[in-house]
Amino acid sequence: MKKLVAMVLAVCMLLSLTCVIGSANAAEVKNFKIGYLDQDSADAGQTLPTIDNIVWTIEALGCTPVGVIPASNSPDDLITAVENLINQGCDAVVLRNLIHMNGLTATVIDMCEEAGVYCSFFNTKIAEDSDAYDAATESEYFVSAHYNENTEAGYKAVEVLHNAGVTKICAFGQPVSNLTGGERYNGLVQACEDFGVELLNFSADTSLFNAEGGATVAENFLNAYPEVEGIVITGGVSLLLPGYAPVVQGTGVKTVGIDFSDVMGQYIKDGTLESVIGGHVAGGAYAVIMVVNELYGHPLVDGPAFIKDNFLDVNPENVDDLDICYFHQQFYTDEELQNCVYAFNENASMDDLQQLIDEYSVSFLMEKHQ
Amino acid sequence: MGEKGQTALGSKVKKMLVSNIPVIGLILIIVIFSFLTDGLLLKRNNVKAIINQSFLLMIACLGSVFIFLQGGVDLSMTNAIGMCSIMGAFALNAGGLVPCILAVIATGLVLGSINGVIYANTKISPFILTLAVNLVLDGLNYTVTDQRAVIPIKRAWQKMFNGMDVKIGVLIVFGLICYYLYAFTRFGKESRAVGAGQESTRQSGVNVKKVKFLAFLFTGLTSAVYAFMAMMKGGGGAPAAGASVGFNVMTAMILGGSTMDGGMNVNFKSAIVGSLITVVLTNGLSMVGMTATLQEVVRGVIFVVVVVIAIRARDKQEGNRYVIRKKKNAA
Repeated sequence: MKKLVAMVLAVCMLLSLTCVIGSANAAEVKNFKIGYLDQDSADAGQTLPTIDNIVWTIEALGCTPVGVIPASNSPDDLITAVENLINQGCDAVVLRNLIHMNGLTATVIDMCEEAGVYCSFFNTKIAEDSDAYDAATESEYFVSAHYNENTEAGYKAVEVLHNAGVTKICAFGQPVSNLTGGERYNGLVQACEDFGVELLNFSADTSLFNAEGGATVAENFLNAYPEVEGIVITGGVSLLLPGYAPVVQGTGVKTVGIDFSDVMGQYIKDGTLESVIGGHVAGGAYAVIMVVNELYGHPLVDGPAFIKDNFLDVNPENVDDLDICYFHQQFYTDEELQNCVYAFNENASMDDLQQLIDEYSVSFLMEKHQ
Repeated sequence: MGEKGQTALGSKVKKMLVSNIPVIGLILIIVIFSFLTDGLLLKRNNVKAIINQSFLLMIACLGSVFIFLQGGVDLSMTNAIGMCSIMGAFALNAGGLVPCILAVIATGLVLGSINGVIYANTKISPFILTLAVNLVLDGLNYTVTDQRAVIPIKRAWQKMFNGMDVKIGVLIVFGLICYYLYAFTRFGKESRAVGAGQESTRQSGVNVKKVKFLAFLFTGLTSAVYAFMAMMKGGGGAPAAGASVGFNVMTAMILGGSTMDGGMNVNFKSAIVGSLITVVLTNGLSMVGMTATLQEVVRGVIFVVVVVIAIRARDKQEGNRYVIRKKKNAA
């Protein structure tokens, strides 16, 4: 009898120990509300993949996405949109570069601090000598800013043209006074110096960021600079390309663009475009991972994080792959995303996320779809 | 109470209800969206957000009352605010608060004066005039900033002037000044008279040109106040600081019960009620998850309905006044 009781007790103890161990491997998955700025008409090249992957990442992590579309890109409407996200009960918000380009980063960090809502930014490079940096480092609720090195994109664009034998270029894009435009221009100028390429003209006119404007840009360069051999479009390729490409097609002038467009494939294949640098659209997903870990009380990084993301480089060899692995595709599997979050993997660390960031390339994305 | 007394009371109540349709509308919107958002609309943080989102529009509407009284509208406020905020940001960064305030006010007054001089001395309608000026300012704003989206200011200034107490304080003071001008000064009364009939007002000895000029000068000053507060809210001067303000003011004033006819068809409270209706509606639609484009559809439909109701109510009142006048003349 005593032996029987002892055996039963031992089995019970064993079972309860197993339960404890089992539950230590997986924390309870909580349904946090994660807010983001949505957009009414998102271009399929850049913005749509960004937003889609934010939503898919949020859902993969067992959370609820809450999107608000700002009435316009004016500072007041952007602040209103963030306020509305906060007032809809979001536990955290991930915000794109519209906020930073309008000088609102510090303002929004202060708003989030006051509301007790965590915030992360993507496609956002915060300079160390700025109010935004001070706000980020002083705030408990700032989690991370994910950025792309736009000087590298500008540099790479000229490098590609140089490798294709081009010695004289024109460039068009965002104004130098614009944060992103300025960095890309600086990279472009540096590359021209390094490779001995002559920059005949750089122009920036935001009113031309549309198909008709693209045609105007092409015509102006070709007529004013008959000696031009290459053109760099430093931003807004998706808006300019439909009007730009037909004008340049067949002239022998090589073009490299920055920022993806869903119609770029045909122009890369027919030789109008040498290459397009862009696809820097995964930062939102990384930002979601960072804030969700913060909400679980297990941040991947102690203190504010400033993390560099990668561009994708598209050329005639890999352009067809994009239709399989990029457009309308979830870049990371649910398991890959969950592996970076405490609730699914109690050993999740920054190394796991950094691996996802480092691997981001066309070949990596293609592996998942083979 | 006799039959006559009951009829008089009934028509008084009816008149009161008709003249307060916008207020009733505002209450209805609040009730409906409180229900649809499970009470989130009236939570403390959201009420704060509504105040934060409406105070700038209210400032713009309050300052535009005088141009509305005259049957006009100032669409150039959209980019006048941008220009004022840009000049303010440059001056703040270069010289501090006093140069900033002087720059903002000077810019607003100069732009208002330009509109005022042209409006007072030509037969051009304010709608066309301010549309054209708005276009000019749009180009100028981006030229001055070298196509930058924002001229940032130091965070310390923002912290000083972006608090709720400062916003409410500025709104109350500005509102009181506007109300005083509207109700107790010749300028207010003469603006109403010009809206009711320019020629008859001129013939009764009023300097109509001066009244017209002053109305635009005041909207210029209003643009300056708006621009300063927008600069502090957004952390910088921006060409887009006053995005769509001209049109939003027009919508808000009409939703608040005024019409574009000027004169007696414009009232002061429409500036406040109309601003609140606009913001609470937008806030509520956003809280229930409606996209920005669909929100515009809803706002447009409500706008048309309100205008039709207001015009019918006004026409009925005009018709009643005509009948009473006819009876008096017959007697």
